[in-house]
Amino acid sequence: MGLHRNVGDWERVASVAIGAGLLVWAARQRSGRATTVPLGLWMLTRGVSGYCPVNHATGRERARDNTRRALGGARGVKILESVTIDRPPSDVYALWNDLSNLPRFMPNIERVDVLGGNRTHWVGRAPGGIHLEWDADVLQRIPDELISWRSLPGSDVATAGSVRFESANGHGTRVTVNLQYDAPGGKISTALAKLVGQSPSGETHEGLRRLKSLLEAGEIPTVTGQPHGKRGTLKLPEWVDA
Amino acid sequence: MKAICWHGTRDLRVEQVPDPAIINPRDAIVRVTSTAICGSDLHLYDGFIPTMAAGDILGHEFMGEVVEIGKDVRNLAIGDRVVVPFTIACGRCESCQNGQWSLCDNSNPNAWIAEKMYGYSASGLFGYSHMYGGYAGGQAEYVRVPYADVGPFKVPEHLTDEQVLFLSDIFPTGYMAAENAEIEPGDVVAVWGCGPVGLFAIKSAFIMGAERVIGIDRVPHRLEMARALARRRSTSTTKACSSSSG
Repeated sequence: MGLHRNVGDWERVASVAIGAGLLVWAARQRSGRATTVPLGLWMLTRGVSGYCPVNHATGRERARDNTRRALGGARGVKILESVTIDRPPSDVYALWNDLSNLPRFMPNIERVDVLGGNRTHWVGRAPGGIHLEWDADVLQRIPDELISWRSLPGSDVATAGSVRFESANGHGTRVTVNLQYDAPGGKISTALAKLVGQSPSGETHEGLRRLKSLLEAGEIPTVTGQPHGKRGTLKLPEWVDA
Repeated sequence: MKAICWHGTRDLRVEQVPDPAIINPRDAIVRVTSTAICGSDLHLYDGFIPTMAAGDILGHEFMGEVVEIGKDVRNLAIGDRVVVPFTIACGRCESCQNGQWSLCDNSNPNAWIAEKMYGYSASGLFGYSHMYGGYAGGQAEYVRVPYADVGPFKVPEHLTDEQVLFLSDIFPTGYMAAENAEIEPGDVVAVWGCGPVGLFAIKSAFIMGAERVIGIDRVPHRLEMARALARRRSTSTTKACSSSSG
């Protein structure tokens, strides 16, 4: 993990606002700058970097550092999506069990580094193109049946989830993803994303559809990169494969 | 290359666009030697199909010569003459394995749009809006054919383009109408409408053993074509009627 963030999102916004306010105020004062300027800079740095040595020294953590607290009850975004793939559970499990394969089919996962043992480092995208990183531990691996995971303290995202692989009575494998997460902006950013047609459930569904194509057809259908005439003003939104 | 691009209701333009390239391992590139305009291209032309975007290349009835193949296409060779069905099918999902190619699960990259509108998505189609995949069509000098190891039929040298081009869409459409009517040898069959699909339905009815086919239309020219089609068949006749009700 590059940067150990230990300041909450809203706290960071507030820090930047207060820091900037202090600097503007200091610029208008004749005296007292010796205190206000360093304090303003301190607040700005703390807000922009997301790291606060005082929080670190006092052991103060953000809400997302405790997965159980961040995702308990009605908190966090919940996703339940499934797909049937015409391949045996062992094939589907094998592809998923190497977590570095996930970016091949999950639209909002950019990279998964397997760090050894059960530790993994994830790089993803939130609605609006926000870049997020988190570490997670695989909690359970039952060959051909189940994989579950949970994020670690200090991550941008608190997440816990599982993927189940069940035989679909001679029709291949039923794959079910059960996922919870809390990311910057939380439910508000999820609601805003829905307004433009993006939803975490939809993206997970899309990811499972691509996994199905990858396993059944050996490739994921796409039209990205094919020719077209002048696009003009009648463009489709950028998130349509066009 | 040159291609026919959609720019809005009743606004089609021949434009210079980049040549297509192989994108996926099961793709092929076909140099188009013949292409047709389908009745359903009129729905695009008249602006009735949603999720079209300016610059989309039309055309889903085409044939030609294979000029490039992806690394996983093993049943085609460069130089093969092929006619390409308009439905794009992976050949490996449960629908494809049951022969329901037009319901392929793995050929529409924008299946979610069709699911939102219709509840379920069918296969991807060439040149027929983004909700059916947004694939560039064959009313162009070259076309990219996905899952090229499944769709294209190789055409023997002795058959002309005109003899096989209609296998891409319109002949199977007429044939399916006749098939749905469960025609048996000796049947008398009526076909309403003697446009191109109707003519293929008449032809298919004869193939299935119909004794007599009654073609119904109000356009004299179409009835004449239906009569000519029947005359080329020595043992049966098509009786053509005109219908004022249309």
